[in-house]
Amino acid sequence: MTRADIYRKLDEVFQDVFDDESIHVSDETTANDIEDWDSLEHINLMVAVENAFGIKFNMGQIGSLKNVGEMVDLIEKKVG
Amino acid sequence: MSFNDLGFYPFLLLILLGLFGVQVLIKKEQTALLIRKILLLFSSFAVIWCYRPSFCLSTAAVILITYVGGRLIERAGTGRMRIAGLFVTALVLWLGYFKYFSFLLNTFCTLIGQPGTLIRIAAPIGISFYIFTAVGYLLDVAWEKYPAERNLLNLSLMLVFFPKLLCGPLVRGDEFLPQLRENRRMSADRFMSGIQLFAFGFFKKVVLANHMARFLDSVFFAPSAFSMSTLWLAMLSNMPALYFDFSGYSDMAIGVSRMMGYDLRSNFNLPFITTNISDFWSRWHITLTDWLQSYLFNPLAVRFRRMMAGKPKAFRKKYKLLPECAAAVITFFVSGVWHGVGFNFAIFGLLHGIFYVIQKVYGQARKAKGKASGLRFVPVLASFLLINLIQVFFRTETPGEAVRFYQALIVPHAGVFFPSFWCLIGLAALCGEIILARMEQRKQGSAELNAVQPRLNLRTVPGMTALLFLIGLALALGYFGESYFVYEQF
Repeated sequence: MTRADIYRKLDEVFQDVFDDESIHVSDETTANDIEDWDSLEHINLMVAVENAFGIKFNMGQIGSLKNVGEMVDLIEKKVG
Repeated sequence: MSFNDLGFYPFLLLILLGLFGVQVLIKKEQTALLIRKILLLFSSFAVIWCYRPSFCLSTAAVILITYVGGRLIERAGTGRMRIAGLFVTALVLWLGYFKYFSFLLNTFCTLIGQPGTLIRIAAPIGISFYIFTAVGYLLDVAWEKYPAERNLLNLSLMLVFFPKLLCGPLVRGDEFLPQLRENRRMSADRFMSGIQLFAFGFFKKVVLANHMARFLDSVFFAPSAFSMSTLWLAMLSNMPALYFDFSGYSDMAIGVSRMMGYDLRSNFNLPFITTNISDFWSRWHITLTDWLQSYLFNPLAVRFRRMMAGKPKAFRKKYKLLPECAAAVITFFVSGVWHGVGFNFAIFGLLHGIFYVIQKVYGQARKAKGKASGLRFVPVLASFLLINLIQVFFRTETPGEAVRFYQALIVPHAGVFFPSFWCLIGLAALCGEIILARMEQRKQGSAELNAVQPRLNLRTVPGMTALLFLIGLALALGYFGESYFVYEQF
């Protein structure tokens, strides 16, 4: 799976979790860029990402991501 | 021996002089760091020894278990969560034994109609705090947030560093261990900042909390003897009194640590400006809330959310809040029983959990309808009232006592009218703190409303005079009879 494929799938996950079709994420996207992305929605998001990619994160990984770029790095590592 | 005992102050002075002596006399950095840490650990165990020498043994056992646990977890590879589970369970059972064994035994005896036991197991001082710190550390290592600590001195100090030993603030490994690895030095600036924070906390404790506690002790001991208005004043002063007590202790702990060169996180941030339970806990006992969120709420919420993942989308949308609410009720319940032994603490925790759920569901419904949050003033007062009403369970010994207090609050009866001067002063001080924070917020043009920290310039005559005046006022007005820090018993 290429990085572009991961982004395509992530866009769908973000749009579904935050109920907003206009969301498109990039490496630099952070919780500050999406209004409803608080600590709770972060958990919903990470579990939705797990399901979409068929992977599992540990709690340290769930809590330590600083931006979507880091999330994609982690997904790449787990999928790849 | 705590900040409340006069004997503590010569002890503190000796340690500060010792640390300063090491800093000035020993030029070799590694040696100075080692002696500094040995001195701090020795002082921490001296504090434990003063309560009961045998506590030193059980505390040392917890330190060793945590040290070995961390190293084993790190080496376990894919099985690290299993090993972590084993060590965490052992530590929690250790804590549970000291805190709950007598209570559970007595409850069991009552249930089978047998006389209860009078055996009371004395819990080692600070055990609730250092066990939670240890559990957090082991889970962080298991989650690969940072490596296990190799230096036993550092790990020991992270758990039992004496300023925070009795009542926190709770520390995290990634926050405190790096400070212990550095050769932290005492400096004039840090010392001046620490001493005024200490003095500020000392004032809150001996003047406000101690006087308010005397009034509250009398009222909660025999509520029916007091008039309704007196009971309402006591009920509304209950949480503020605990705030002055516990935030006073936290300020003193942070102040002493700062004087010695170490930083501890703040534990309170204007807790009474909140409009709901969730917001309240993000400003009250912040380090405990952070611990509960990181090591209990989040793992539970993730687990429950994963359980819902296989369900149809319509179900997931309809019950979107279910995983969070279930995790919150369990977390608040654990928070309740952590605070103290008995049914009342469990009810206290559950009530916070239930109101959290109600406010979350209501908030979601309002958001869905696009309604604004409305006036802030009314929700702030309503939250203050709700939190104080729940707090009755925290203050009373049995559910029956709490119910009798609620009855006395609403059933008209004759009783002593006693408008406690110190409770009125305490409530006024709370309002004053919020007004001061608001003025500072306007001055800074910041969006967030945060507590104002004392920042006197002690290099100037007015600054030093103000500090001496504050200490003089505390000594003149303070109550120095029998008193303790409420959170010491937890």
